[in-house]
Amino acid sequence: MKMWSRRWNMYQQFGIGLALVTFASLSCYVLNDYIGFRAVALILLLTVSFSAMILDIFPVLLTAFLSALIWNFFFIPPVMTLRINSAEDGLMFLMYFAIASINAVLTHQIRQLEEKQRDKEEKDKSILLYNAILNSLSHELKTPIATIVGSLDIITENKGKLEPATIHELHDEMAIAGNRLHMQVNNLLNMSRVEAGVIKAKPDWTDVEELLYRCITYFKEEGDRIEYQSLGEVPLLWLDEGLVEQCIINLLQNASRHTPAGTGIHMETNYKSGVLKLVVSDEGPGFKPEEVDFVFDKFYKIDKTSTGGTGLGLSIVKGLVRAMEGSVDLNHSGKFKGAEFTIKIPCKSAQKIQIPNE
Amino acid sequence: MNKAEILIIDDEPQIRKLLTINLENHDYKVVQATNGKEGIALAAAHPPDLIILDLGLPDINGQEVLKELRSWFTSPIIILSVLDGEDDIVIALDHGAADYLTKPFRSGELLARIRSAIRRNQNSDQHTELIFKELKLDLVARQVWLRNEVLKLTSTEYNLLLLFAKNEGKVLTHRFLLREIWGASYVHETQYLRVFVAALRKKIEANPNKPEYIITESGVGYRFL
Repeated sequence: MKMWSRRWNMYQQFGIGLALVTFASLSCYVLNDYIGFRAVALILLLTVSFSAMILDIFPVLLTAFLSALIWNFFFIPPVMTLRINSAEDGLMFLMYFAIASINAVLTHQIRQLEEKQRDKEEKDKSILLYNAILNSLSHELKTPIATIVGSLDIITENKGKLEPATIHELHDEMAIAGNRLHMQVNNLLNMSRVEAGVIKAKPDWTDVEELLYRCITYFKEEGDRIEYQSLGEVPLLWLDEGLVEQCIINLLQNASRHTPAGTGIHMETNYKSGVLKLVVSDEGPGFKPEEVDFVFDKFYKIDKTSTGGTGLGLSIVKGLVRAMEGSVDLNHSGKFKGAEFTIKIPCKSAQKIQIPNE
Repeated sequence: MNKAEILIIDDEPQIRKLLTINLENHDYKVVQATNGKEGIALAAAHPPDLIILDLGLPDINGQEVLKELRSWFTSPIIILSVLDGEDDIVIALDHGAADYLTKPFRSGELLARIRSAIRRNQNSDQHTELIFKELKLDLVARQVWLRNEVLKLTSTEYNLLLLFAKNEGKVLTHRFLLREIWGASYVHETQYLRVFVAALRKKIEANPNKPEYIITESGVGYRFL
């Protein structure tokens, strides 16, 4: 009901009210001889009630006022005058007007209450979601900060009493925490850039295979799990190298985080009819089919896993790919049994450069 | 022992402190400026051996400071920038910055950049031979040796490798490389660079997919190590 009155502006609502009353009055005028002018009052009241369900208060009051006048003028004898002869008819006319108005006001109040309730429910829901996000985020940010501050405290408070090996260990922990914090903040910054829509692809000629091999080297020892296979020659492509790199790194990070150590992660490329296809697949547990729709949502994390992610990586990928006018899809159980992400980006390719004999 | 003087221009006291401790610990003399104006004045009063310049300064845009300094200051300027400011970095490098570091940076990285920038600046004398790990360039015979074997390079490949070698440790932008090797009208023809770097890597790298000599700096250029 609420949606209807929102869909129409005030003028349209007045028009609808007017049309309803006119239509009901005309019908009653035809039926008047069979049903009598008192039954007409009931039909007109029904019309007012109906309009109260779909219209705002002022158009409804108009239908109430107008139908009362019409009833008086066309139906209460003597017809074609506003005069009322019998006291009984006068009372009925007044009651008609009162009931129609009360009808309009009550319906309006009920609808307002309903609306308030719905708003409150929506607000509660978004507060709940917001809290979940904030909890996850503050956990992800505060854990590394706690590690750094705590390690520093241990070192300053125990001057000269700690084993060199312990100090070394604490330093390592601080370094890991620092890197983690750095990564989280980068994710948040990237996400806000994606959200603000300020990311614009700045393409240049890109050697995709070189880029992919470079992505592997960022993963250090973990990189040994990653294997790249080209399905046919990939020419130089007109791409934003930085954006593609960010997408691949996020997908690889996601794969390495959610799959057992030592299992393979596979990358494949293919360039066909103006579209670059990049596939990242793993041998992990994959996704449940019902999760596929949510994995690209902001802050979505499977089973609230505490694997060090903010749940932003994949939604960043989606945003970046969109900035390149491409698409990203997830096959929940792919070629290598695990998750399989496919990025498709339309782009032009370079002519093969003829290297002159020198 | 080296006592080279370094001017830090950065408005963040914590970064200045960290840099100062680190540099003084490695025998550099440190002077600090908290904004662009002060930095330019200090550099003019007593030119240091190297300047570390933050691009995000409160008073003047770091790029303007760089341009102003570059018009008369000849020693190296290393840019500090926040991550993801690739455009800024490329502009600064093309305007004569010697190198760049993105915050947060590692201390080892900082010291390596400083050492290599100061060395390049001092070493302008003519070499006849350049040696890097297993690679040897004979500048007189225009010949390159890899593990005691002569490499067959085209003349463009040789010129490119020589340009890299002469700028060891320094990041070189696409624009700079294209202009130096192919000429000013080729500065946007990145595809040439991609093809020749790939060809060069095939010849000099043990594993071209994990290069150890020519490193790609994503969105910025290449660095020869």
